[in-house]
Amino acid sequence: MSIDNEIRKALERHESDVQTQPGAWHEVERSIGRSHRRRLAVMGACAALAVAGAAIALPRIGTRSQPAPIISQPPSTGKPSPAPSTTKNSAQPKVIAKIPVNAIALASNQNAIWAITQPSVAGKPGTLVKIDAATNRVIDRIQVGVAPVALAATSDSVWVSNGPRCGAAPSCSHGATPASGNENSVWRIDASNDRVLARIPVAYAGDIAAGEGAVWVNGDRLYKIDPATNRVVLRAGAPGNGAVHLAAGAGYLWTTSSSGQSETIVGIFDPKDLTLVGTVRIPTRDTFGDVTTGNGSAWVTTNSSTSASALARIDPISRRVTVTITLPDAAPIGLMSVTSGQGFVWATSVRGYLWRVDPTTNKPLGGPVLIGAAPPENAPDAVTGFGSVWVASADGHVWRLS
Amino acid sequence: MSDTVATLTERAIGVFEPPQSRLDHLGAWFEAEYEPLLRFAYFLTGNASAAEDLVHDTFVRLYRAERRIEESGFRAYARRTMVNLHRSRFRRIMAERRAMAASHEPSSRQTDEPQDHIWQAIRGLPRGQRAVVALRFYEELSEQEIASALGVSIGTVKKQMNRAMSSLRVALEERSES
Repeated sequence: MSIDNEIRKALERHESDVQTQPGAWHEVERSIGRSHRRRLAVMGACAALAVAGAAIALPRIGTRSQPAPIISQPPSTGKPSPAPSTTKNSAQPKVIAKIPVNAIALASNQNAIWAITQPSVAGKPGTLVKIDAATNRVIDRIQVGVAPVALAATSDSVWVSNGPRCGAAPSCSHGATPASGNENSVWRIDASNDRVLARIPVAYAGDIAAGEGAVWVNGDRLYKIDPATNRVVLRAGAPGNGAVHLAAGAGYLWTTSSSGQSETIVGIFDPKDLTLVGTVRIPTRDTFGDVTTGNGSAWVTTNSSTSASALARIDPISRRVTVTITLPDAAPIGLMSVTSGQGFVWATSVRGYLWRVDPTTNKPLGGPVLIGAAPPENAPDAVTGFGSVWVASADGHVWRLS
Repeated sequence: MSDTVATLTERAIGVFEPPQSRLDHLGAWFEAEYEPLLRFAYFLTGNASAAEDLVHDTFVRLYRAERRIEESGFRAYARRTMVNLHRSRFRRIMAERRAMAASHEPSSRQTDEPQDHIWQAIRGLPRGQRAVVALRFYEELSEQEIASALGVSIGTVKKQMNRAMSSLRVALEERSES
């Protein structure tokens, strides 16, 4: 008997395992009635709230004289201060597309949205995935190292950091594996033809960032790579127990690291000679404060076990936290990543939430948007590009939102 | 005057009940499709109690979407709704809990019959592949119809079917070896 017939027979044998229930439709009717009444009650409550809100707000229109607070931008960063925004889009981001890519990190440039996926089998190559923003489809998959951990995009290239197979811990047996092969290396890929242009060995490759004229890698030390030569040109140690995340912008290289004392140490480096010019200490629950730059500032995620998680905004001139923006529903689960673009700062959380923060008011816009399947999956990274924000979700998709 | 008040009161109360015409319309669909949908739900969940819950919830959902159903056809829309509901992890967890509570029910029979090897293999397939197998071999739908019913591309259907058939072939080979 063919396998098709075997399957048909098996299904037919078991079709009588389940029997129709005589009162089933009656149960459905009752549930529909309950659902109908519940929706009416919700609509009634919303209408009542809207009427009450209008009654409170209408008399105040025309009496407001002070504009919303705007953080002034440091003049010496060379960047113009953002104009006070009066036309910020306060509508919630809407899902435009779901692309089936199980990404752990994202980047964007003029060519595409780029994602890295880790290999499903240990020892096999990971993948750099190229997503066409015009069609929301994967248009290429490029094999990279056995443990890709982070990526960064410049105008013409994508840079993938390949960590060691056994993890990024110093106890990992680095000596047992070639540093210039598929592990502990940075691969440069041509963004137009997707070919590997260079493989640059570094020790214990971790996070990677591009900006301020170079590519930066967090390994056993900080590495500065010159894109003109594809060579490491400077090395330096990071404060605390070594850097976890990197960002380059607002005139500096920024690192986050742990001191082992429930705080994130933000290291501020001069990108010219990679000297440490300042540190900022932020109380936090764990060591995974992500960092990004945007609107003339650095933005660091902080997680607290006693209060809500938040974004700390750091002024590069005073090297102080100028404002801490609480993201209420993030506690005590924690934020995973922060990025900036499209006029906003975006943060993702372990519970799959995406927050949008207005940098002109330093306030979250609307409530968080839930990304991914329910119950919530974590959202490890987000990036902006092509008029959208793109979020990697552990549900196995990259979500594109307006 | 009192008649007018009575009429108005009746109308006010009627607002809190779903429109009878929509219920009748859905009831007709229920009568025609309940049994095949229940069997499909059973092949999808592998458990009779979970299948009954899934069909129940599917019809509650279909009531809200009645206008959309007119356009795309009830059978395809109902199956797609069912698959989407089942896809929800919450639904799966709840169904598993109910299945554990109802572990003595006769419908989830476990037999030692050799031909049940393939049934066990079907139940062990990932839910997407199980849905494709049930639609193909029980409901005898074409790939195009399966794609429409599940709201996926034909390529996805082919891929799911290939994977399912590979798994089931392995199960059959293991049975013949043993």
